Amino acid sequence: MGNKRDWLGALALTASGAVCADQALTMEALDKRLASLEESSASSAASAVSDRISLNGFITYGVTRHNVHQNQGPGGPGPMANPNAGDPFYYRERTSDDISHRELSRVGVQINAEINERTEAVMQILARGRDNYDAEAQWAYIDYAITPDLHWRGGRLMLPNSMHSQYLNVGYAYHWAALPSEVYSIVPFDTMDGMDLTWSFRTGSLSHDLSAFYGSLDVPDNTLPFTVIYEGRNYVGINLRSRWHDVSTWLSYSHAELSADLSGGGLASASLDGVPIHGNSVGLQYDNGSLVFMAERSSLVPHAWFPERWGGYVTTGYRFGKWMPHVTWGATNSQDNSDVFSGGDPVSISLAQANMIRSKSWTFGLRYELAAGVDIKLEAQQFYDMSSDKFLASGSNVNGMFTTSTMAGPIERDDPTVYRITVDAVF
Amino acid sequence: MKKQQWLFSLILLLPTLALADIVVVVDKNSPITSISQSQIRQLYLEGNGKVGGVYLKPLDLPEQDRLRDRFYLAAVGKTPAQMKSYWARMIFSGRGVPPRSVSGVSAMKVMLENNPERIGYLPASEVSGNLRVLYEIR
Repeated sequence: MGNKRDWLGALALTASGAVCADQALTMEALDKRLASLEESSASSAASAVSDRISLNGFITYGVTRHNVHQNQGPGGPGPMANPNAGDPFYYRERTSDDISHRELSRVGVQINAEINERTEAVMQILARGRDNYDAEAQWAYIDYAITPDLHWRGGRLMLPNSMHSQYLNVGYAYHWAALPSEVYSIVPFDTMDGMDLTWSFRTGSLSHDLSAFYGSLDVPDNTLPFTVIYEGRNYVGINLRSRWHDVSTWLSYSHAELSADLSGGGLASASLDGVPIHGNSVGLQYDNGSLVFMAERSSLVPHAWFPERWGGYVTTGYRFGKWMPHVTWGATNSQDNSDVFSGGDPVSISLAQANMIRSKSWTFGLRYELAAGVDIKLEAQQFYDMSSDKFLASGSNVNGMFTTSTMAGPIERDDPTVYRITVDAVF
Repeated sequence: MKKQQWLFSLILLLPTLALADIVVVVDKNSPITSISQSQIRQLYLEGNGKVGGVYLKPLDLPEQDRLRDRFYLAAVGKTPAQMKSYWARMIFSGRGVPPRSVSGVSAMKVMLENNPERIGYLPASEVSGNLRVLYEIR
């Protein structure tokens, strides 16, 4: 009896073992089949829509306000009166001491479609809260690989004005809640229509991307009481991005001819007709995984009433796990406008004075990585030394980026600060 | 005594075997026989590239895979969050796309075994006779 039971037990064990082995075999076979299916779908990529088209996106929700609880002054009598008297001070023409949910918020969607092995079509649509989420194409181009290392692109391209310009709306791509305005508000346009050619090459352990572009742009501007279309023609530029281990560097130069008809607003003497304008930028980044350091300097030199301006910043931060505290010092200054002032045209002089900006700031921020692809950032940027008044001409803007009016009167508090909280994601 | 010596050397060897847990591999028909860490780094940061004159396209394990995180930390020197931020810059400025992700280790093996232009990484224990180990991550 005992023997029989043992025998039955052994039989049962063997049978279950056989079943297990059978199951394992089936699982392995299934695994193999799955893998080869994956492989075959990869090899027939040209016919599989999901492999040919990729969809990526980014989103930022942000709140911002400043602490200048003061309205703009009335200015002098008659033509010296401030048309914006009684309005709040607006940092970069939009942010006041009221919380704004729109200024920093935006969403972007990008479609990359592989047409064949060498050709790709890319479209990136951006909708910004400050534009009432009206969608606009930031990138819309066809990319053709002349060789694997030489790419031509044509269509709508984002301008490579500064180191972070070509992804300036992707908040997750940098540690600030907003890129330093000392540099990223110098050039008042982001995109152009034209083409570029990029050559990727190596010298030893350094990787480089050398890029040249050619195109034009039309930028409507509403900072004056009427709309002005700034037309940039023969826009050409060259830039070099190099990387060596944890260090990367950036160099760029661009040149354009700028025209604008201001006669509609009675400012004909300030109209621009093909005036040369050039910009340059140099930048450095270091990121060893814990320590981050960046420095950048950009400048724009228009040979017109629009003031020449440079801006720069130095930033450093340290990652403690998911936390990254960081600090940034920035400065910007409008340079020599003596030609405009000695030219004697009162319209050009007043436009130059209004657009002159002098400003320095300290930014303290904290970034927390909620998950790979999602972060939250807190930031305070405190400004000082904002008066252009002592620089070349009296009567110039004395409030940095808080107003373009020269008649608003100085900001009384000595710690004008912009606060920002953002949540960024990429998907 | 001889047996003891053999056991002793085995004990000495074991930790090194256990530490070399991630290997960078290609199909055994690939002309490439070796690769440096800086070449691996460049391939995985650029999404493709040439090693010894041969064009290679790297493969990735899925994003949540812990082996992938360890590979990036050891070979590229970057955390998952840093890589996410890096590729955000690259993708949205049209400068590149990340390496293709496969569903897991077995898919990685099959993809590599049939495509000599592909390069990938695996647990050392998963290397089959059809693959060539180019680099060991300890």
